[in-house]
Amino acid sequence: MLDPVPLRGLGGGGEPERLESLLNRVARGDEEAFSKLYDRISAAVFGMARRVVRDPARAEEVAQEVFLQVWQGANRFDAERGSAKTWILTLAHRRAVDAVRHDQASTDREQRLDWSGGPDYDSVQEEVGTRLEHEQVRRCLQNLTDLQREAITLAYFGGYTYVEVSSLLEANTATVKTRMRDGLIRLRDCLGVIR
Amino acid sequence: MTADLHTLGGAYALDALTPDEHEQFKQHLATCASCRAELVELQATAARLSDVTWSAPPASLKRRLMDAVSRSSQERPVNVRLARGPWQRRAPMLLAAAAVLVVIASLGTSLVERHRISDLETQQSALAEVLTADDKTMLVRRLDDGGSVTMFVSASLDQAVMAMDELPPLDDKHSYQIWRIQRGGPVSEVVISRDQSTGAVTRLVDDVGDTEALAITVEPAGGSPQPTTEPIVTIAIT
Repeated sequence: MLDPVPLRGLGGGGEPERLESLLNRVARGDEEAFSKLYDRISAAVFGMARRVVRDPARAEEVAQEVFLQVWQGANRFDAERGSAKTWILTLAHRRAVDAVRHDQASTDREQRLDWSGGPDYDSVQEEVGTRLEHEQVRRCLQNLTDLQREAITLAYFGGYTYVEVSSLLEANTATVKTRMRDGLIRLRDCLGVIR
Repeated sequence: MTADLHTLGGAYALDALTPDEHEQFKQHLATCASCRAELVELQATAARLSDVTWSAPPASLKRRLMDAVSRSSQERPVNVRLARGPWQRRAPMLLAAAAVLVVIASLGTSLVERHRISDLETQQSALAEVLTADDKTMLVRRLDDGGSVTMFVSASLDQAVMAMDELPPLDDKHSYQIWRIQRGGPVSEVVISRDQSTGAVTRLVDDVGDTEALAITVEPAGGSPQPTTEPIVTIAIT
């Protein structure tokens, strides 16, 4: 028999502590909570950063800065503006994109044009425990139009601005920016994202 | 124009706007409640994309972080004796910027180029000392064209920390330059290089005892021996 009332956060079994609750403890200087938070979300942060910046060592630097920022600024997390995961991944994506734009001002960037062939997220090694989420995101990405999907994945995983995406996809900028928005909206509805 | 801005939400959530448009949209968000509500959902959606790229980082990263975390303090409410003002919301962020700088300097690797590390290491303890000094005072100036400058001064330490946050970006023909205003006239303190001038820049200034004020001007790239333009901000050291 399962315990009908799991005692969360009281040390007994039950569900794992919510990220939001861990983040609140981190804001009070709880290193153990930081350690748990890290274990739960570092693969998402590092994996995304590695995809965007390409170089694993650089991705590690990005992840390191993100987690320091989380430690330092956990009290700025505002649950009204989204989940803890969204907050951390938004910080992380911004940093990864800043890093790649800073690093790849010129030549390297040209070498990454192979992205125009479409996202190769199939080849990414996935870790245990994310298969369901992974499958859901993949399936929902397939529901988008080609232009929506390519615009979104080039921007998110490639770190390209919508202007660059336009030239990669040979589409006009107004269209690309609109497709990014309506593509994300369709993705949101498919994933059932509430916030 | 507004309708046009409204459609930028998707690109914003994907960090795919140009820097100018990014700022523009951020300002637009302040006045557009429906855009904010939509953005919450679009950012949550974008964050889900990271589900397909999961990859565990090397164990050494966690060791470094736990080590850094055990040695670093977090943001605390700012202890100032000045009257309440609009700068108060800004203060924790500036302190955070300074604190992050301190932590970064104490780590083995960071985004900062290696040659800057030793510089930062010598600054870090002094910086932290000023920010935590009992007699520090804090002054904040918002600039007309955006961004703000915060100065912490400790008379007992004879030092000041100048934190520049989101100064308007300059083209590559211009640099920001910090000046000490002394009895003999302005003396150059430092020229802020282009790659430093985005985001938050923190500068420790020594020997402020006989300095009347610190000022920032926009100069031709590389700086000038004497200021050639009116300061965009002047902060008196009392």
